[in-house]
Amino acid sequence: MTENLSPEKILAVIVSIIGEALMVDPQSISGKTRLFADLESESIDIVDIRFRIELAFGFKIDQTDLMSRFGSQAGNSEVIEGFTVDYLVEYVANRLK
Amino acid sequence: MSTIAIGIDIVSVSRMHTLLENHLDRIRDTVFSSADTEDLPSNLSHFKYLTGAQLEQTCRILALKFAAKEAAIKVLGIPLRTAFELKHLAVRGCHQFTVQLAPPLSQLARSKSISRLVGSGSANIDYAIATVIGERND
Repeated sequence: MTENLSPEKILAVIVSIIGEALMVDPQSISGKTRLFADLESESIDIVDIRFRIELAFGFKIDQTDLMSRFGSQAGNSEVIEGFTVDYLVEYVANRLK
Repeated sequence: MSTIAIGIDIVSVSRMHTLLENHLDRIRDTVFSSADTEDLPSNLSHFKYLTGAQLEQTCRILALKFAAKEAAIKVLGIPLRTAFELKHLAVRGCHQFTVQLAPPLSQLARSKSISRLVGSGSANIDYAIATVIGERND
């Protein structure tokens, strides 16, 4: 994968990745889907999704960078609500710039 | 020693198997350290060549160690926003184990007066489960 992918294309790839990793119908996943709250992702699922994204887009995910939007005082409920597919799309799009 | 907190986690062995098949190098870089893998039947770099009982045992052990790491994370009460790699928790031993922490997790444990993480685990063909206790020196 290279730069200049549109957000829509990035979304399509990430939705496909999540569908494969969690064995859910990709049509049931949208940008607003929350990985923890809606898809009940477990820790091993997040690891799998992370690695698949790294492979698909050709970069290593920096955990600090990935969680930076939440800030140093964010509680778990904020992360559970905010960790959406769109959040991942935005992260990937920024990394590809 | 007093017990401060307890954590538990369960991991699908087949899920771990799939993860190892698909992402072996990444797993070796970020999830399992050499301390985690010292009691495997063979070197993790040889995973792709494993078959039969050795393959099954390797997947069970690593599923158990993954569960142990997650149980330890619950004991430490690490916020989801915290950036760290699972490799920062080293699970030494298998059915009876200790969890050793690298920075920044070691500092977090000290701030919560947790001086030791110990636990026990079990695995069958389907699932691995681990329980971890955080202890404090009295």
